[in-house]
Amino acid sequence: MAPRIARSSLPSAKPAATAKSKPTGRKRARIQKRALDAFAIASAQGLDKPKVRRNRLGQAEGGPSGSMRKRRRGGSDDEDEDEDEEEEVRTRPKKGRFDELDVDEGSDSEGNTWTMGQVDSEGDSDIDSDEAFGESDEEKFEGWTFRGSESQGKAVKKKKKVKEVEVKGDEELDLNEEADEEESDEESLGEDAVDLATMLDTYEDSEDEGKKSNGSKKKHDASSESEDDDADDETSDEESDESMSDAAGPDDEDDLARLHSLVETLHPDNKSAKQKFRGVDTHEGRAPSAFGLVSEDKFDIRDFVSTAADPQVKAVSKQVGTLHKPLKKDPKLEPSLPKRQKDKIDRAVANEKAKETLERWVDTVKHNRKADHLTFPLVDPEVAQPRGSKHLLPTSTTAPLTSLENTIQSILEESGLAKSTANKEEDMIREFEELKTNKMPLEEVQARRAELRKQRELLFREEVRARRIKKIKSKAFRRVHRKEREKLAAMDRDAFAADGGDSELDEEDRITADRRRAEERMGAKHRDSKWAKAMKKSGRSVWDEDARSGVTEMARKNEELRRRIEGKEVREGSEGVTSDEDEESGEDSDADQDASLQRQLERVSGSKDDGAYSRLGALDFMKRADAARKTQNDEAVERMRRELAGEESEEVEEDETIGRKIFGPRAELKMPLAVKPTRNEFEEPEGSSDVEMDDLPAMIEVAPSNPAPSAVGKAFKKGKGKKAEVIAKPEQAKKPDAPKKNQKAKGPAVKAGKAAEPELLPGEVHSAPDADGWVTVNYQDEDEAGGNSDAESVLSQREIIRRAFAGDDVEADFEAEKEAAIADEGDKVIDDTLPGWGNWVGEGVSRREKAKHKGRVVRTEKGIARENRKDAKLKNVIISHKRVKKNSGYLASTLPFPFTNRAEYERSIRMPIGPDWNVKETFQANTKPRVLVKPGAVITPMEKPLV
Amino acid sequence: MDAVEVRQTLTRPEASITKSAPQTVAKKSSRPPTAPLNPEATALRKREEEAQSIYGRGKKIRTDGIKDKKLRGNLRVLEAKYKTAMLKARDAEILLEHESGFLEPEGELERTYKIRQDEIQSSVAVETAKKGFELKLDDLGPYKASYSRTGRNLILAGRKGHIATMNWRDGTLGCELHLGETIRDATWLHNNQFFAVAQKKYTYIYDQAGVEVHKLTSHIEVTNMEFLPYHFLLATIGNAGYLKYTDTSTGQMVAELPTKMGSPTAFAQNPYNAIIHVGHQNGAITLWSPNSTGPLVKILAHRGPVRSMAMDREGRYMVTTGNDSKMAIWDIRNFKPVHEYYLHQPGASLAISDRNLTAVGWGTQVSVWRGLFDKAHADQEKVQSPYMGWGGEGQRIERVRWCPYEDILGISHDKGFSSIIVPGAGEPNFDALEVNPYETKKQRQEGEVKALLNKIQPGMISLNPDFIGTLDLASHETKQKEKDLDRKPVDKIEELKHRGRGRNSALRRLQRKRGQKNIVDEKRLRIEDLRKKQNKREQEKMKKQEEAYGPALSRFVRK
Repeated sequence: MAPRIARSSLPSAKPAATAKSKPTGRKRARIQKRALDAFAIASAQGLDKPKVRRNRLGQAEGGPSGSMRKRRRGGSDDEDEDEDEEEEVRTRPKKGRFDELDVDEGSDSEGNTWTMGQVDSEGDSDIDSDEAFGESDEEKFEGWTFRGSESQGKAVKKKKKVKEVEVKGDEELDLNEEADEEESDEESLGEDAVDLATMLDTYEDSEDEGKKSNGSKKKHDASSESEDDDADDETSDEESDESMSDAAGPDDEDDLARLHSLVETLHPDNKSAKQKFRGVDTHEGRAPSAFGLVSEDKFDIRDFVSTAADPQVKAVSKQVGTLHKPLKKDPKLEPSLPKRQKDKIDRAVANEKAKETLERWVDTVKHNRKADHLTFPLVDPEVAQPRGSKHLLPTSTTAPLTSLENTIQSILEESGLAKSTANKEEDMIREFEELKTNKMPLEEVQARRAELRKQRELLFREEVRARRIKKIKSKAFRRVHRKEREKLAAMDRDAFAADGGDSELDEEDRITADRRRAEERMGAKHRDSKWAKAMKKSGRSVWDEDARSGVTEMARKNEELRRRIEGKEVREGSEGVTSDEDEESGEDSDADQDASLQRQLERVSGSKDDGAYSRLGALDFMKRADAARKTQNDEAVERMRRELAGEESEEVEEDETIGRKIFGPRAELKMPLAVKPTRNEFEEPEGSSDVEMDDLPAMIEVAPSNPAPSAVGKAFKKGKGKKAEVIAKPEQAKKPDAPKKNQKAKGPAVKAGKAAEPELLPGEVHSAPDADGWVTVNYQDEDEAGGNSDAESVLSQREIIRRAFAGDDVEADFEAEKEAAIADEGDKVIDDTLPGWGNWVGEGVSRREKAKHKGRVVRTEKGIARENRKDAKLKNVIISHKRVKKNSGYLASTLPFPFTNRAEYERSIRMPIGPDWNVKETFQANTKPRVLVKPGAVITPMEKPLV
Repeated sequence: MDAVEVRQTLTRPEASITKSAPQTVAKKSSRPPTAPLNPEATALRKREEEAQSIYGRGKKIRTDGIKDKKLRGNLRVLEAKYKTAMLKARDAEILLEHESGFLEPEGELERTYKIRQDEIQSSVAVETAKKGFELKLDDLGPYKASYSRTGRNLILAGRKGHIATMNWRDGTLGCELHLGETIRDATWLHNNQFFAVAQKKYTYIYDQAGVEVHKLTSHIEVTNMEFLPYHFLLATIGNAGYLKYTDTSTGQMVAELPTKMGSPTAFAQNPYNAIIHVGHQNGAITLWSPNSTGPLVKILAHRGPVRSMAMDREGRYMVTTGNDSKMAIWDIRNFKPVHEYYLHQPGASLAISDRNLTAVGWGTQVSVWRGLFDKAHADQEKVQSPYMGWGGEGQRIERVRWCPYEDILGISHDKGFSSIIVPGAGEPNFDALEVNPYETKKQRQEGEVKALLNKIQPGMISLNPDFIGTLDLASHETKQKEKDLDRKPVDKIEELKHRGRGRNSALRRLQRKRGQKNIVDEKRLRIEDLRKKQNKREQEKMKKQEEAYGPALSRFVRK
């Protein structure tokens, strides 16, 4: 339901219009005069323009027509004409009574036209249906009873009103237009004039129209109006008919007469009536129907009659004579749906329409939303860009597009750089030939083609042959070249010999070079040679016998080579290959020998006298002797092994001596800075050694640069008496069985060392005796057991240092610190017990009592568990797990919105966008604003979907 | 191996034929997942992998599981962007016109460490040869040298009070000072215009002409200094063991942290994350940022005092030497030892070049190691011999420093300063936006302004410099606990007391903002009172001005 308030605007709008349209006395006269003329013209021409006006006026009827009417009455000179018209009108049969409902109370019988609008517009709110039905009407409609109650009638009226409101907007507009026109084109027919003319002419129709406007009506465009007209009439008549059917009054005859007149007006076949109105009907009838439906086929009286059950009506139908056959039901005549439902359907349809139009935009909107960058004003993609503006077009194939290209092309042609002219000629020739062949018979064309093909084939073969012939060189040529090569090689050889390379080496070199060359020939050339490529390319092997055999040869070689590389025997391979292998085995012989030696050694060392000991062997001293021999043997084996294994490394290593490295001038290196491992039983015990160093750090500083103490061994000792290193005296070590003895003799010294610090000497290692008989004793760490001499020497130093700082106990301190940190950052138990709550405090409370109340309210604060610490598995490292407050300001406190987890978010900020970290292009792309507006450009809304 | 290769080469043409056929016929048909890639695709993928290894920033994330369409789309776009950025960076490598190379031995027996400087100088270009020079400064004690960030300027600080700055490339002297007191350290600040000198008691800042600009009285008895160029922080540590950070752009003391470990023995910064490493007497190394009162990490690295430390440019490895003659390589992202080497004498000074050559000065000698650590290898190789050696001529090495963007090692010792050529040490391609060795005066000035604008706050120093913007993983409780609940509420009115006058003064705005004209409370009264006072002050001021202007000009008095 449309709001009612809207209607109130109508009457307010109208007076203005009326006021405007009211001309002054003289003017009026002139207008009227002109109106008469206009009428004459209009009636002659069929009046197109007035038709529109009429309709518009029909909407806004009240004002102008009413005023005009009054005016007319006031004016005396037109009266007679008026009179005539009235007479004419009177002669016409009266229309349905229902129409007359709208007639104002005070109006006379003739003035029904001009009063109609008033009911429509202003009277509607004021005048009740009862009031509207005035006394005169009562006289008229004496015999009629209205169907339904008053309220029903009202309801009908209300419905009409609503529809009228819908139209009202248009009416206002029209009013304005009307006013405009009055002012602007006075020379053309004035509003009044037209109105008057039509009114005069189509008295009846205007009545109809009035009714239309009174009843439900929707104005459409002028074109549909004509078609709508009939339907509209019928609908309105239908209503009257309905009321008629209910009627069972006494004035039947009178009613019948009226019905006659009604039928006459309504019946389309009634030619006379139609002809009469023809001039007006064409334009006048074109009002929109009540339901906006436009029908082509006209209504019949039968449509009405068929529904009428009344016997009287039937009788009437007999009289009319054309109503025998009840036609099939017209859906248009079905009572319309209730407004609410209709509106609902309307809305649904409208919604669909709207959706459809909107959906056309969806792609564009999506596209624009997804776009990385938008530039306004938007560029229509369909607007053809000049070709080649984005992509380079091939210049060779296409014709020049632009004038520039044209000129360049012409210049090129002139200068002979472009051969388009030649091409053209060729094309022309070809075209010409084609044209000719078109005329020729098929066989001939085929024959020609075959001939051509043959010619080409021959040419190609000739070419190939020529190429081959070209390669064939004369004997002399080859001889000369060979000699030259040989000479060069000889020169090379001589030069090498002069340099000092012996001939054998030269020979070997040559062999290897030859071999390599052969391999290469076998390996790559057979595949990648020019010949092979040419074969592949030309496909000559298909038809050429020689070429084919060559190809097969190639494949065979290929296969052979592969097999050879895989290490398989080549059965029918060339002799050179096998000989090569022989050579290889010869080279390998040394290695083989070594291997066999190793194996033997293994056997020796692995064999154990696990057999039953002889009785003699079981004796103690024999056992001892055996063991001694065994150790000796083992040692020998070990040494040999080492020698075998260490051959290469020895070659590389410059320093053969194992032991402490000596720094500083080279000469000092020779000084035997060996450690004395043994002490004779007859020698003094170590403690009494005369030379002692008590300042170790100083020694470390000095040691490298200082020459080692000359003859007498030194025992480095720290102030605390910890043993550092023992230097063996060379005299003791001179004996061949020195190691063994050393070990033996070591006893007391070791013991002494152990007494001082038992874990000190686990990895004591004695080196094999030197050429001079020196033996170095090293203290080796477990982890550095296999180090080279340098490392070993440093190791000992390291050991010294370890001992030097051992007293500080740094590691233990550090461990303790770490424990403290773990405890500090771990779970904490907090005692929240308040003294005095639930217990006594102060003097006299026993200690036990106090202790009892100590941990009553306890809470634990979660920290970082020991195993969760980052340094849990790191020795000598403490990593703080305390939260750095100042850093937390730079953290995101919560996960920002669109992201669903941390990884997504952190990934999104992973890449820096600054110019320092990016290529310029990337940086610019990353920082380009999403929406770019071209300054100064007017940005119009999109006219159509762009995608 | 050979066999396999050959077979591959044999089969290749066939494969290419068979593959190319379906491609040309129907490119649309999707390749089966196990089908071998065509050579182009493999090349493309290889290129991508290479770019990823150098310029990539972590792994991609899977976007398949994301339900939010928009987010998924955005993340995909982002990934694509990252990828293009990566590839573009890789492609831009062709713009790096200079190559770096090292001394390569010709035979197996040749050793690069045996090559002497005069041999190098005789074989390189004249201009390059000029870069190797020696300064004989016998009198004023062991020198400490440091290069400016561009590598053009050098400062020499003699222990006995001699300071000299110079543009060593031109050989021009900047300034020379004889301070007459002990100098323990000297360093350039953000450019060659200022340098800081740690003197007997205080630390001073001088400008390029040698004029004393500042006296940092809070930095007392400083032994070591480091300047953090991106934060404009001068970090110093003194005999008392207090680590102090001063912002050189504002002059404010940023942090003062007691190490509680006594006098430091070594001091260095990690160029990657601006963390300061301090070596201590007991062999421990502590890692510090100005944001926490305690050390972030503590490592027991050596037995006996730590002598020196150096971190590589990427912040992955640390090399330390101690009095135990040990030289240790550490992975400082995991705090794990990588390798240990033994020097013949305790290493006195360490420096790592841009191309990861490590120079270590021990005793009278310097050796340069190459490939001590290599991020490309899963397990690091132990290098057997140094790359180059120098010295052994009786000058005790005090400090070694690499000259940025040059193949030059500056060695300062007790007899002066030596500049030696170490091929392959410096970064051959500099980024002029970052540091420009050939900058003009104007560029230097602009660069200074830019650097100040880009200054990073000290709060951003952390072990992981990428932490900024990441999600705070602390629990709600800890966050709540961190909040200072006893904080005094800010008195806005008091704050605005002296700010702004006139129609839109801050006070008036506050008054307006509070609204409700009819509510008269204490605050309102205060505001009004203050405003009245302000007005009065203004009036008085105007009056005074009027008087000063005289009757004719009094109308030109402005508020």
